[in-house]
This record gives sequence, C-alpha cells and structure tokens, in this order.
Amino acid sequence: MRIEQLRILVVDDHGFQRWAVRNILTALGARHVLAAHDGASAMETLRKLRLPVDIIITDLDMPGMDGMELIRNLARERSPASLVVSSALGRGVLAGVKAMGDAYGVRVIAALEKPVSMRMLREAIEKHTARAASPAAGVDAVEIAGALHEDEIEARFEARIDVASRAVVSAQVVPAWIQPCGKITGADGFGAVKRSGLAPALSWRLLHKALPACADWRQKGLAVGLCIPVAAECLHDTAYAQRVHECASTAGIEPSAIVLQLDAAHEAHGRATMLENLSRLRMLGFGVSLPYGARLGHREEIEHAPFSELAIDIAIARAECAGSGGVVVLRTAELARRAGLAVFAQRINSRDDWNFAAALPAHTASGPALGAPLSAAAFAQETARRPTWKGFR
Amino acid sequence: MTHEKPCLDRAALVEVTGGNRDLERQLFRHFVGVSSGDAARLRRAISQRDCGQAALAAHRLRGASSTLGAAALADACQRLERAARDGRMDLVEAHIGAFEEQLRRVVDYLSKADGDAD
Repeated sequence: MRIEQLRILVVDDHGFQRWAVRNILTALGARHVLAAHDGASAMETLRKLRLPVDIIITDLDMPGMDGMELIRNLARERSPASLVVSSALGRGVLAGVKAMGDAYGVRVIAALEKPVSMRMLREAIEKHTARAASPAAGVDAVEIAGALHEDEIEARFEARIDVASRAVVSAQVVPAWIQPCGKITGADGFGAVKRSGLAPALSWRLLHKALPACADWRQKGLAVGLCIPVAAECLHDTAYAQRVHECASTAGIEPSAIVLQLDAAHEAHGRATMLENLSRLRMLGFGVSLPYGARLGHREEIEHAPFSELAIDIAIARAECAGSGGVVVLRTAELARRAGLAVFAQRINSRDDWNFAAALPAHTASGPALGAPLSAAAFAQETARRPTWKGFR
Repeated sequence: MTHEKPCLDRAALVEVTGGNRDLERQLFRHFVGVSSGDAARLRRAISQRDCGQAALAAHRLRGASSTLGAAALADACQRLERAARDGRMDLVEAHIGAFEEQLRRVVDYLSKADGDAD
C-alpha cells in the first residue's frame, strides 16, 4: 500500500509534537493523518472510524492514558495496526516498551527517540509497507475470516519424532490456506490470527480437519497420534474439554493419542476456567502442552497446573542460550522433566537445532528439518514408507 | 572577539525536516506561536510557585526546541524542568534568565529566517 493510501494516527499530548509529526507525514505524501492528544482519545478515534488505521505513532509520557496503557488497550481490542512508539525518555525505556508490545502481541515496528525526524518516519512506514507486502507477513484477519467461511483452511501435518528411537510418533498439526487459484499460505502466514479474535475458530477448524485424517490413518494401521494447536481463548469456555472429548469419540480416537498444545498467548485472566478445562482434559486422558515463553511463571505452571508436556521453540531457546538467559530454558526443561512432563522441541531447522534438542534432552521434536508439513494423504504415505527418521545426510 | 554559538543546529533541523524548506518554514512559524504560549505558562507557574505546571511547560518547550534543533534552548528548558520536578523553585528562578535569553535568540533568528524566506 502506498503512503497516500495509509491511514495514520498520531498520538501526543503536546500540540507542537503532534503538529510536527503530522506535517512531516504530510510532507512524505500521507493524505490520511489523524491526531489524538492521549491514549483515551486515540481509542475513541479508533472506535469511531469505519476503516481501520494502518499505523499508530504514539508518545509514551502522556497525562491520562499513557502510551503503555494505550498498547495494552490496543492488544485487548486486537488492533491490527502497526505501532510506532516515540519518546524522549531514552533508549532503555523504548526497548522495554517495544518488548512489552511484542509480549502483548501488538505489532511494534519502530521505537524512535525524539525528536522524530523525516528519515525515521519514512523508514518506519517502509517497514510497515514491506511487512504488509511480504508473503511471510501473511494474510490479514479479514482474509482469514473469509477463508474460514469458504472452508479453504486445511490441516497440514509435520512428523513429530521420538528423539531416542527416531520413530515418527505423532503428527504436529499446522494450518494452511489453500486458495482456489492454487496459492498456499503456510503456518508462518497466520500471524494476524493472534490479534484478530479468530484464533478459537481456527483451532476448532484444525481439530475438525485433523481428527478424521488421524482416524483414517489408524484404520489403515498407522499408529500415530496428533498434536493440535489450541488458542488459549478456547479454554475460557467451560464446556471446551467436554466438546473436544465428544469430537475425539465421534472420530473414534482415544484421548491418549491427542496432545492439545496451547499457544503462546496464554494469559492469567480467566484462570479458573482455564484450570478447570486443563484438569478435565487431563482427567479424560488428553495430553496438554505448555509453551515455553508463556507469560505466567513456568515453575508455577509446571508444578501446579496439569500440563503433560513442555513445548520449547528451539529458535527461542538457542537465542537465549547465546545470551544471558540461557540458563532459564535449561532449568525450565530440567524442572519439567522432574515434574514428570515430557519435553518437546519444536521448529528444528538444522542439525545444530537437533543437537541442541537432543542435549536438552527433549523427548520428541518436530520442524522443517525433520519433515515438511504434508497433506493427510501425503503424511500417511511418507510415514508408512519411512516410519523412522533417517537423520541428517 | 568571541563569536556566539549559533542558536540553531541546521544539521539537526535538516535531519528532522529532510531538508524540506516549506516544512522548515512552517515549523518556524508554528514554534514561535507555541513557544510564546508555553513560555507564558511557565512564567505564570513561577509567579504562582507551581512546580508541577512549571515542569510541564518546561517539558513541552524542551521537546519543541529539540525538534527545531535549538540545542542550547533545549538544555535551558531541561535545567528548568529538572529543578521544577525536584520542587526547587529557587533553582527554577535561578535558571529562568538563561532560558529567556535563549528563547529570545531563537525567536529572533526564526523571525529573521522567515522574513528572509518571504
């Protein structure tokens, strides 16, 4: 999208700063620039608009609703806008707020030290435009809603390998949007789901697609289980566990063959209902996977919530080990093992990733290096042909 | 003979405006209007011994000065802001003279630059 078409909201309590950013944007070619004097008036402006805003540029230190509270509200409303934070409070504060925005699932594309310049704003806009145009940025929420409605979302299956025996033990379910024109958007393109409110619908769709496929494999003698991603919001419905159980029974799959893997947007609110669902799922025999990196303390979750598995994203774990946070992931894996949880290493992209996972040690692993996402039929064919992963050549 | 340091850092201003002269002129005019209002607020806050309002006015003036590349004025505003946040009205009063001097220099410069451009 060109800058003339972008809708940009500038939030700053100081009239001069608001005016300056607005005029720099206009000089860059922007035609739809809105302004608000604090977080509350920004939220009010966003609610009143018929079309969504593409970019929000906000100050942090404002009376009333400040920039951080605005970010929290944008996350709650699942705003799809790209966010630029600007402040004279220093790089440390800006880096912290960017990390906070990322943790909330808000797309913070730039953190700018004031005074904000034309070059900084141009680069931020280019970043937004590049992300919007990149295939990796994926599809937007409206497209995903349409794809769900048209039943164009399919389940794809990645081999989950037992690290010790290298046998394919289950299928890791990932989404794919198969358009009638033949274009396929893989799991990496579904980032907008987190912010859209569509995550529960997508979780259910994947469950409904994956269960019959797995039932078919098992009828044909392929004894593999399923690991299905679940949006944490699903657990706010008290009937969730029972509904999943009914679906599994209808498909004729025993619960012990199914692991439900919570997404990273695992939050403290609705905790009682969530724990009720987790307990019931475990009682019914399902496995439940806790993602490493979830915001609640791992020790508390591992020791006091009924998870059966800890899922560790190897890219995150290796990045932490390269820095000072490495000890946390290693201790968490150890804590999980002692508490009787299995350790699952996901996103294995290379031999080094595999070696890292084996050294953790992880019990199971999946990722592009171990098996690409396949259709149900292709997964069955491939697993029947190669029930054991052959290792790196 | 000593030369006074220029009150505006042209390079910093060009960084903000991208060298767009129209934008620069608009910025000058807008600054003159806004800073006179904020300076009046600052003086009123001092006369009323209101450190909170003085800090707010100084903070706003500091932000606007930085945007313009008026580093010496921004420094003077920062000293006022710190003193006001610390509740030290005596220090605010001690620094206000330097601020007024820097503000006068910047406004004179901008008015002249604007006149030259017209």
